[in-house]
Amino acid sequence: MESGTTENILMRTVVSLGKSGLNLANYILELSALFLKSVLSFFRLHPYTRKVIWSNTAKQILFTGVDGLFVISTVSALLGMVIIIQAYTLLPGLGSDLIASLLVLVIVRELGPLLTAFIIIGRSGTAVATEIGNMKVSHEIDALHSMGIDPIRFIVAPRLLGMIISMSLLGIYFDVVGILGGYVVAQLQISLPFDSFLQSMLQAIRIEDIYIGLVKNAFFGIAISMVCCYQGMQVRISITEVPQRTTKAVVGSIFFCFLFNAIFTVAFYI
Amino acid sequence: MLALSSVSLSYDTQPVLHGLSLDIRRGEFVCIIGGAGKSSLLKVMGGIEPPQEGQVLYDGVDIYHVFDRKYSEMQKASGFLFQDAALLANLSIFENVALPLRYHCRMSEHEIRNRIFEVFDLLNISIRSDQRPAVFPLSIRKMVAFARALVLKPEILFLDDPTGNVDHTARETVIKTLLEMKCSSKIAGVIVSQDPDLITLVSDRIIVLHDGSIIQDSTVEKVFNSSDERVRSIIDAMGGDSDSQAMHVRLERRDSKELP
Repeated sequence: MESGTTENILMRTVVSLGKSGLNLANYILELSALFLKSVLSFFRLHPYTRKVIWSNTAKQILFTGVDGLFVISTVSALLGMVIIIQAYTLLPGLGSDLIASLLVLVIVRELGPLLTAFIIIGRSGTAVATEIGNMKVSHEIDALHSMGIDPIRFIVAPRLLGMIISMSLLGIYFDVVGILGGYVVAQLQISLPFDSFLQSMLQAIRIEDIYIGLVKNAFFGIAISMVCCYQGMQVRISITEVPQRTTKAVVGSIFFCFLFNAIFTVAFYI
Repeated sequence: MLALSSVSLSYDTQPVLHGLSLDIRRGEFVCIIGGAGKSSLLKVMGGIEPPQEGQVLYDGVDIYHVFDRKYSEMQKASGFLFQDAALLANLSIFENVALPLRYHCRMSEHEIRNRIFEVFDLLNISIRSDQRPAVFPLSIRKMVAFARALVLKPEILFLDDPTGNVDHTARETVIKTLLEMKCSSKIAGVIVSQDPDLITLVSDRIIVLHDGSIIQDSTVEKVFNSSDERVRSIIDAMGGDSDSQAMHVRLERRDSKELP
């Protein structure tokens, strides 16, 4: 009797795991299909249609990139400062070489791209999912169909491109401001001259760190835009679905950012 | 021009349309009245909601089985007015109407502006077009959505309750515009409505839906004089009683093209 119950629980667990696995595989396939469709939608555009799409892309860059500068600046500067303050509490005799290596390791390689992604998810990803969800409920997506305007070309593709460009540029900006924040604290602690700090930074940073960071940010941009657009598009008829889908968009985006981050770290630094 | 062949549609497991077949001829105005499924049928005909079964043929081509570019061209030839206007909330009134022109046509800014104000004049729209739709009441938003549907000079119009939730002046303008278009062009129209004046004045044919099936497809007179209980209850619910003097007045107005 007891072994039968255990078998049942085991079986249900296996079935449930199998279902979850299939759902995840299906989710990834659908996201990939959306990505492919979005990329393809950039081709074979009439010049006048291209103008509309570029205008939407520019709006997305403005919203995600330019409007997000203040938050990014604050978070990155504070992060750089906190890292150096904590480093001094552990190693009071910290020199310029170690400060530079530490900032490169923590900000450029790991936390910079991830924190930029999180800020973008919170600021722009949620906005994208909510906006598209509301557009579905208010029949704006249907209206686009009725006008012969492909919603993927008009809504998703510009957000994909806008997010990739914004993420890549904001990632670099985050690194620079974070490093400067760290330098400010170091300057206050040991009166570190800027040229010797710069010298140490240039020695600590490798060209690979920069391009891996760029690729990582671009992939985060793809993940955030695709997950958020996909979840927004899944809203069907009710306004109550919008917050549910937005939550899923946030969780999904964070999941894929961590996944890509782990893949890149394993692939390039091991 | 447009033909539906054995079209069935369901949402999740809930059937909405059952094996509908019908034809819309060029220059013909058809009204759809009845119970649930009218707006869904309009969306299926308008290329927005693909049916689970059956075909929707536009000039002999299945609109749901063509490549994107062809689909886009076919959609360009139709105008759709949604019940709730469905204007894009983040664009101004002007940009909403300009969008199909910018997306589909090689036109200068001057030409776009001229075309938009030509349609605005036709529909008596005189509002600040640089404002967002949310600041205007539904009545105005619907007129703007009607302008958006007309701006590409479509061959066929799909109108979902065009006189519902609009003020008296707007209602008059809608009916007048449709009557003028009917007389002066080869445009076809499919209209979902509960407005007996609009139906009797504009339509050449009425399709009566009941439980997702067509129970009558006939002329205005025949539908309004139908002895079918189901049709009668639909007509009565609209306030379109055929025996009354009102119905005769409406038909006389239609023949003399006089507005209600």
